[in-house]
Amino acid sequence: MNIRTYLRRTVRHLDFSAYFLLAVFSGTIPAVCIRLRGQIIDSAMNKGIDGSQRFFVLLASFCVLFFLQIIFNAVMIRIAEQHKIRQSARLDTARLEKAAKTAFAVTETQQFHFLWQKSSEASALDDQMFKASGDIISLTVKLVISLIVLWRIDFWIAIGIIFLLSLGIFLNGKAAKKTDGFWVKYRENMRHANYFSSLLMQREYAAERKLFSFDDEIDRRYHGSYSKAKRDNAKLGRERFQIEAVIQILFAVYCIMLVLLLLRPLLAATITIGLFISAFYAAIELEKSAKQLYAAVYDFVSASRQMSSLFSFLDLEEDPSMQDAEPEKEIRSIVFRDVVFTYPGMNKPVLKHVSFRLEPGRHYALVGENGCGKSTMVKLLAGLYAPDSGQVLVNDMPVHLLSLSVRQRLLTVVFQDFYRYPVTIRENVSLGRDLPADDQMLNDVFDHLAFHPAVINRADGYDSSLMPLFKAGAGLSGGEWQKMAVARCILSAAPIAVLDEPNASLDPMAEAKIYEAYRDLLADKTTLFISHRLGSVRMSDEILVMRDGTLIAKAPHDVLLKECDYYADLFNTQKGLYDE
Amino acid sequence: MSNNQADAKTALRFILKTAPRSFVLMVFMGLLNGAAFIVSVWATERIFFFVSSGYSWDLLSALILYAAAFLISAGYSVWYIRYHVQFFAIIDFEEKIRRMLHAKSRRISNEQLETPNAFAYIRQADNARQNLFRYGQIYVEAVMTLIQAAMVGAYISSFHLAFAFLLPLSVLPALMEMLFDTRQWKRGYEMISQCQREEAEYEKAVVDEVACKESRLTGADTLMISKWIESRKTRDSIEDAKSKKMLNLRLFLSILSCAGTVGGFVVSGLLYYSGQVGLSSFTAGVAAYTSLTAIIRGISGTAGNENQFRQMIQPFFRYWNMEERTGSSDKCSFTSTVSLSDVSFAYPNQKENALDHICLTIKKGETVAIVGENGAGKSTLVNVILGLYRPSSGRIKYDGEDISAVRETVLHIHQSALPQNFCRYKISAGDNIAIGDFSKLDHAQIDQRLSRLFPDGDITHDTLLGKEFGGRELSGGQWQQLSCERSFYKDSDFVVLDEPTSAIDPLREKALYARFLKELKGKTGIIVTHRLGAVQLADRIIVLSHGQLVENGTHKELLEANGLYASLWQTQVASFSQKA
Repeated sequence: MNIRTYLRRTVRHLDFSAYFLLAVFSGTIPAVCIRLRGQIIDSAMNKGIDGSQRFFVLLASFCVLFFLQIIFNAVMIRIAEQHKIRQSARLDTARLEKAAKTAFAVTETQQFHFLWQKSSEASALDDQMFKASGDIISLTVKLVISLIVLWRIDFWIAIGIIFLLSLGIFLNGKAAKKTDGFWVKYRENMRHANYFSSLLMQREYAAERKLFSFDDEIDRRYHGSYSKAKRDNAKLGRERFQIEAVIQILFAVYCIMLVLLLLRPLLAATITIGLFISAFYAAIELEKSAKQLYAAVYDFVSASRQMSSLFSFLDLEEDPSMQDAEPEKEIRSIVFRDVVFTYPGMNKPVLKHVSFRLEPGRHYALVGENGCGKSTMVKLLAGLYAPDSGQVLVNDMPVHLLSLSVRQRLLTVVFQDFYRYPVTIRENVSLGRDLPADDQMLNDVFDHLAFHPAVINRADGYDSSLMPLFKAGAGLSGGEWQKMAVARCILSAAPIAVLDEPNASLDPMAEAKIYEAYRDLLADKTTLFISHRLGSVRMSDEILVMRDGTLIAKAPHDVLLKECDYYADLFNTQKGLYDE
Repeated sequence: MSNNQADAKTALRFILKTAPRSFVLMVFMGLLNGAAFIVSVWATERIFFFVSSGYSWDLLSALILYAAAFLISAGYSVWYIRYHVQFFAIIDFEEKIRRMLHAKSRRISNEQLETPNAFAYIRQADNARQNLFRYGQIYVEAVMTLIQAAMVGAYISSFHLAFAFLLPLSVLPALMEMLFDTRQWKRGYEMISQCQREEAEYEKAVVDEVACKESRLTGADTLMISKWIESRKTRDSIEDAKSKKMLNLRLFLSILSCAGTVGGFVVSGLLYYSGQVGLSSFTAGVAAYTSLTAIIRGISGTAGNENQFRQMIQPFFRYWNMEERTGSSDKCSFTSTVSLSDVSFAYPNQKENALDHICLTIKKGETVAIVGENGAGKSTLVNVILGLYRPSSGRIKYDGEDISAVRETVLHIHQSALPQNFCRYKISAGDNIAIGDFSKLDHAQIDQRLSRLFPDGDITHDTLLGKEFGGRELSGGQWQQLSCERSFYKDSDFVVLDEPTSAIDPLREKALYARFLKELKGKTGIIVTHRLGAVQLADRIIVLSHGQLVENGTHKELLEANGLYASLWQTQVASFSQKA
C-alpha cells in the first residue's frame, strides 16, 4: 500500500465528503461577506426608502451568513474529532497486528524497531492531513472567490496579487525541497543528544553515574550533539524566514499601490466607495489566506511524506510459514541435518554443519561456552529462523514451514531472557494453553516450584494483575518471574520443552529444589536443557557439547568425562572451584 | 515519591525565572504587535476618511502608517513566532531545562529511584520540558490579548458606548466554551492516561526485542492485542462522548456569540444610518470588531488548554521537587576501616526492611565475599556500603567519620564498582573504559585493557559499540568483562564487584577470579556472588539471609560452624560429586 491508495480509501469515507462540503461553504462565506460589506456601505450611502430596505436586507443576510459560519465550524470540529478517534484506532490496530505478523528475522533488525517507532506518529499525521486537506479546500475557495471580486474591480490589481501569490508558492516550494536533507542530519544529532541525556537521567545508569561521576563529560557531549542539531535547525529556519520576509515586504508595497491605483477611478466615480473598500479588504484577506494556504499545504505534504514510514512498516516481510497441518501430539523424532546458519548481515556462520537426532521422551542437555551457538540452536528448533542449508525436522517436517499455531502446540520454550507479561498470574502461566489453568493446577505446580509470591494472597488471587503500573507488578523478583516462566512450560500441553538456562537467576538452594521438580513435572516431555552449570545437567540422558558452532560430542555424562577432553576440562574446572 | 504538585503561580514563576530574557522579549513583542493592530485600525479609518478627498499628504501618510503597522505585525508572526520562538527560544529553553534535570538527577539519592514508576516519572519529567515553555507563553499571550482587546474595545467604544456592552457579549461564549472544555478534559484525564499507559505495556510485550520470540511461541501476541483493543475502546468511548458534548455546547453557544456579533453589526449599521458615526468609522469599526472577536476566540482556544498544559508540566515539578541529598563536607578518606553500625534499610514505600540491623566492619585491604539466597539483600547491602543508598536507620562510617555529612560527589571519589546491572554504553570501546574516570585519560592503559579483552584486535579504541547507533554488538559476557575493565581502570581504594561473572563462562571464571584478586590487591574489595566456588578465595565471607547478617567468618570457620553457608556449599559440591 502507498500514500495514494491510502488517500483514495480515506476520501471514499463519509467523514471526508461531509467535511469537504462544509469546508467549501466555510471558504465561501467570508469571501462573499467581503463583497457584501461593500454593498452594504453603498446602499447605506444611498439613504432613500429603497436604499434603507436594501441596507437592512443586506445586513440581515450578512448576519445569517455569520451564524451559518459558526455552526459549520462547530460541526467541522466534531467531524474531525470523530475521524481522529476512529482512524487512529484503525491505524494503531493495523500497526500492532502487523508487528505480530512480521517475519521473526525482520523483528530482530534495527530497521523494524526504527519503523515501529516512526509509524507510531501515523495517527497524528493522519489527523494533520485530514485537517490540512479541509483547510486547503476552504482556503482555495476563499482565494478564488476573493480573486474574482478583485478581478471584477480591477484587472491589473488582480494580476498583481496573482503574481505575488505565485511567487510565494514558488519560493516556498523551493524551500520545502531543501528541508529533507536537513532533517536527516538534525535527527541523527538529536538521537545522540537524547542518548547522552538518558545516561544522565535514567535509573539504569544511576549507580555508575554516581560512582564514576561522568556527569560533566557526558553533559558536555550532550551539549555538543544538541548544539549541532540546533545549528542545522536554525539554518532551516533562517532560509524560511528570508523567503517570508521578502513576500511580506512586497505585499506591504502592493497595499499602498492598490489604494493609489484605485484612487483615480474612485474620484472619477467609475467605482463606488463600497467597491473600493471591498477591494481593500479582499486584498488583505487574500494575503492572509495565501499565508494560511502555504502552511496547510506544507502540513499536508510533510505529513503525507512522513506517512510513508507507516507504509514501509506495513509492507515488512511476513512469516511465510503457513502450512496449517494438524498439530501432532506424538513426537517421533527431532532431527538437525547438516545445519548451517548465519545471522542476516553477518559474515561468519554461527552453526557449522550441525547434525543430530533426539529421541522422544528423553532428556537432553546442551552445554558449551558463550557464543558457541546454543541459543541460536533454540531459535532454529523453534522455527524462528530457517537454516541457510540443511534441515531442522520435527517428525520429518521442516519446522520453519509450520504455522505459528502448530509450533505453539509443538514446543514450549523458557528463554534465558524471559519476558514479564503485564497480565494476571493466571494468564501469564496459561500462555500457550487452549484453556486457562484452574486454581488446582496452579497450586500444584507452584507448590512444586516453591513459588509463593505475596501477590497471590490478595483478594484477586491468581487473577491479580502484574501490570508494572500497579503496585503488585513490582512485587515479583527476577527469580520469581523465572519460576513463573518455568511453571508455564510445565503446564503447557506441548510435547517438547526447551529450557534455556532456566536457573541463571536462581540461587543454589532454589536450583536444587527446582531440578527435582523438573524431573517429576517434565517426565512425559522430550526436554532440552541449556545450562552453564555442568553439575546441574549431568543427570540428563545425553549431553550435547557445542564448540564454536559445531557439535563435538553427544553422549551421557560418564562417557563424555572419559572420551571428550573438552567436556572433561569444562567439568573439572567448575568442580575445581569446590574442591577443598 | 510524594505528591509534588505545582500550582499555576509557582509554575509560572519558575518558568519566567528560567528564561527571563525570552519572556521579556515575548512581552515586548506582544505589546508591539498589539500596538501595530491598533495603529492599523486607526490608519484604515484614516484611509477611508481621506480617500474621497483625493491624493493628499494625509492619505499618503495614513497609507505609510498602515504599511508600517502591517510590517510590524508581519514581523511578529514571521520573525518572532515562526522564526525566533520556534528555532531559538524554545530550543534553548528545552536545553536549559534538560541540563537542569541532569543536575537534579545528580542530587537525588539512588534509593529514591527504586520505585516501580521511577522510569515513567523521569521520562514524563523530561517530556514535559516543551510544554513548560508553552505554558509560560499561554499566560503572556493571554495577558497581551486582553490588553489589546481592552484598547481596541475602548477605541471602538469611543465611536459609541453601545459597543462597550456588546463586546463582552461576543466574548462570553468563547470563555464558556473554554471553561466547559477544561472541565470535560479534567474528568476524563486520569482514565485516559491510565489506558494509554496500559496500551504501551501491551504494545511492548508484542514488539520488544526480548518479548518478540517468546510472544510468538506462546501466542501471547493474540492475548496482548485483544487486551490492547479492549483498553483502546474504553479510551475512545470517553473521548467520543466528550467530543459529542462539546458539539452540543458549541451549537448552543453559537446563538449567544451570534447575538453579540450580529448586535455589533446592527448597532454600527444603525449608528451610521442615523448619521451618528461617519462612513470611515463605521467601516473600520466593523472590521476591527470582527477581527477582535476572532482574536479573542483564538486565544481562548489556547488559554482553554491552560489546565491541560498545567497537568502536562506536573511530572516535571514532581521530579524537580524531589528530596535531595544533604551533606556538604568535603572530608572523606578510606585509610583504615569501613563500618556499619545497626544499619537498616527499607525501599521507598515499602514496609519491610530489606536490610535489618546490620553491624559490620571491613578493614582496609580486606577482600570480603557476600553470599546469600536470592532476595537476601546482597545488592542492597553493597549499595548501602557504597553510600549510594542512604540507610533508614543506623550509621555508616568511613575511617570513623559518618558519611551522611559528606557531599556525594566527594564520597565516591575513591570507590569503584561493577554493579549487578552493569551498563552497556553505546559509545566507543575506549570511551566505555574511560567513562570510569574521564579525568584520568590514560590512553595506553585503555588500549592495553582492550587488547587483553579482544585479542583478535577487531575491536579497538575507536570501535563504536551497540546496535543503537550502528556499532558492533557484543555478547553479554563481553559487555560484562568490559564493565569489569572499566571498574579497574578507575583508580580506587575500595572496589565492589556484584556478581561479576553472571554472564561469563565457567571455563573462564576461574581465571577471572584470579585476576580480580590480583587487581584488588592493596585495595578493600567486596565480591557478591552466587558461585560459592569462588568465595573461598576471599579473606572473609558474609552470609545474608532475609536482610540479616547471619554468618561472618572465613570459609573454614563457616564450614565448621555448620550453618547456612555450610548447607549451601554442600548442595553445590553434591552436584559435582561422583555419585549419580
